[in-house]
Amino acid sequence: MNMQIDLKRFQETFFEEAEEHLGTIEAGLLQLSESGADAELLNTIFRSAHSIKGAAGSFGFTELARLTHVMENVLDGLRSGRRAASSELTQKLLRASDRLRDLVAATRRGEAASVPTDDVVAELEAELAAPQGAPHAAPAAAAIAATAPAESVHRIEFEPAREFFRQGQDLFLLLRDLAELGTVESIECRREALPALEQLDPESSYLSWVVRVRTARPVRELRDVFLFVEDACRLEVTTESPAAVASPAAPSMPASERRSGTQRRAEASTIRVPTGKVDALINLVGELVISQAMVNQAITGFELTPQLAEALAVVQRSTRELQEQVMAIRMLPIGTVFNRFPRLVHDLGMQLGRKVRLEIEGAETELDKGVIEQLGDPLTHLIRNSVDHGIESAADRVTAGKPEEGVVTLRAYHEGGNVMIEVADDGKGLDREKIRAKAIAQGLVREGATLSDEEAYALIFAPGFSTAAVVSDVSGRGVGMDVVKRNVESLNGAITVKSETGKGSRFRIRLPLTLAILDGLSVRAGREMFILPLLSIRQSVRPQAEDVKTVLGGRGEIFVLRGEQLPLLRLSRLFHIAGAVEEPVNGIVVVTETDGHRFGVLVDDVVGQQQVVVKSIERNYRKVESVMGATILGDGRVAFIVDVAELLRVATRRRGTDETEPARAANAATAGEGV
Amino acid sequence: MVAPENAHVPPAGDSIRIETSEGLTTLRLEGAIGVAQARALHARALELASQGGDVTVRASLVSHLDAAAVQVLIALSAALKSRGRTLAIADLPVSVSHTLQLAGLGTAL
Repeated sequence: MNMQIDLKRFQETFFEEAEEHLGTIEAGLLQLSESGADAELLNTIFRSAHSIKGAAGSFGFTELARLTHVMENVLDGLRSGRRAASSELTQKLLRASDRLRDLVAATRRGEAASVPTDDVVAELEAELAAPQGAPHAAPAAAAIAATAPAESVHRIEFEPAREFFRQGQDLFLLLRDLAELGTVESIECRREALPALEQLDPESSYLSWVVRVRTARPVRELRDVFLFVEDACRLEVTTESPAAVASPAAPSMPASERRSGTQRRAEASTIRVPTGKVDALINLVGELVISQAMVNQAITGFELTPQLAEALAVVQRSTRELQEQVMAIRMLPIGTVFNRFPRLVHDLGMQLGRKVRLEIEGAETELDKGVIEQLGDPLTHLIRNSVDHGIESAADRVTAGKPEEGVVTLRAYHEGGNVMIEVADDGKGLDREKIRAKAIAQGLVREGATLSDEEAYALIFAPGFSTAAVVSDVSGRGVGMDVVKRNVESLNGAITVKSETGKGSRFRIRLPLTLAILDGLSVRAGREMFILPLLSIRQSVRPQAEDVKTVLGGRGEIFVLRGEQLPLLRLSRLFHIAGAVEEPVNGIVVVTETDGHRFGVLVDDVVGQQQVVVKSIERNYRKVESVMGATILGDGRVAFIVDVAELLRVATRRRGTDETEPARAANAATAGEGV
Repeated sequence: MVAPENAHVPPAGDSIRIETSEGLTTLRLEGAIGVAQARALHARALELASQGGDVTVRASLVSHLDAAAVQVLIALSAALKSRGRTLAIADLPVSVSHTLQLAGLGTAL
């Protein structure tokens, strides 16, 4: 067994935890600015800053430790009541927290030096050095401020667990932090557990300490020193001499209150596992699902004994359950991405001088980690747009009979095996006529063309489309909504928009629960197999000869479905497959829909519906046009999984028509496609 | 926990080295000696314990010494003492000495 400590691994854990703490700090500071000082809130922010500082010091990330140290001092002043919370101070702390985020990211890349911190550190140090007025009635310590704090002597027994060092911890730093909270009356290092040199494991911890500290600080603060290591130590804090003057606001923790690390460990209900390990497990289960399909195929036609048939059924059921359980491991609450937006809305509101509030619903809705990671950018853009273009100025809102404060709502919920995310605002709504005029000016729509609301609003997703009269710092650069659409589609999702003049707009994103498996329809073209995502399929039809018509001088085909004319694409022609069905009557038309565009896909045969494990082609080979991935079928053959939206775009582009025309225009254009 | 026989001992490089000159054995430490260096330090300590004579630790170039390193040095000191030999620490930088005092280890080495 290799016992060498892999500090890199611990550092990775530190960075992940630092991200979480940064989120807590930021959310806490925002709440502080909105609802004022609150003891528990200040403690929460303080603890997160403290945790980052402690671990950063252990890893030798001195700049991180320096910045968090000064933040911690300011926060400590707030929670002890020595300093008053003000919006100016909160802004300074938010600036420091932004810089801290940059610094954490840069340190992770090994480029800590690229992020200067002197200015924010100096700003906070100036705050610390500035004379404070009368003691502030901070909620945690109003009474302490009013009366002279009484000192107590606390006995702290601290025994790091054997594996303490393997967590990358430097316990001398903890002892130093402890000493800074008061006067160390005595400190004893116990060495009874230290084995002889020959038996010593140098990466295990054997020493323990008994420290007696005289301080006016509450026991909670003494415990906070060990916050980051509470699961890796035994800690007992007892108060030896009671405070001379009882302080009603800061009662000493009773001596009977002892909480050992062992007890705390028992409370831990989660474990932290690297994503790579989960992905490897998912991959393996994917292979198992494929093998299972192969077994099923191999036994087709055999007469099975009842026992064997039952055993196979059990294996099949267990495999499916295993797959579902493993997939569930990758699921994260969408709140992990939603949490960044209160800050965004707060900052945008300040920047634009608008009163705006963000309401979040369904933050607990779970979604695949891979999907969540890619949602940040599109959602940021939609929210920016809502605040910048949607919400009116306070004066305009009052004139329109609305409350001064605008509301942007971010909502997530499940609907029919998908996750829906909505970004809605109660602003002025999209200006249909302005969009139409702009689209005509940009040549996206013909003059005089009639557009339904849906078609008009869909134009905002066209590349370079923006109706903003002034290009602002916030949005309106004419890029973005098309990127939002592409981002969503790359997640196998779709985005739509609804709007009502004077009442607001609502963007709705539909996403699959996961990218790793997909419900698909397996179809055949020539000797090749393809998978069409079930989500996009409306129905399959064996066409009659009169249902298929040639248009545009033989360059395109349409399929008539109950009077509705749909563009018809031949899969075999798009993928250049020889030996496929030529006469449509000998094949099947799969009616497919993407972004409101309906079209028919002609295939030789529909083989069946199945759940497939998506394998990336891009990662293993290169991007293949109109293909989102591949899968291995039960008979061992590889089948492409068709990217339906891209298939339509490619077909449209080959004909040379702008793909961003609204549904009717695109459908009409694609009807002329000779594929 | 006892380190397994085949535990990997990282190369100490130049930061932990044994020098013997005119019958004097010196363990020279440089830079940060922490948990990442503890196994290498332990390996050198075992070498020193198996040799004869007193040992002086030269630590003037040590920037940081953590508890994992300190407990190896304490164990080495005890091992030498049981053999009638001594371990002396020389030139410990003030900052490191201060840290050890704060940790109640001012007289441990």
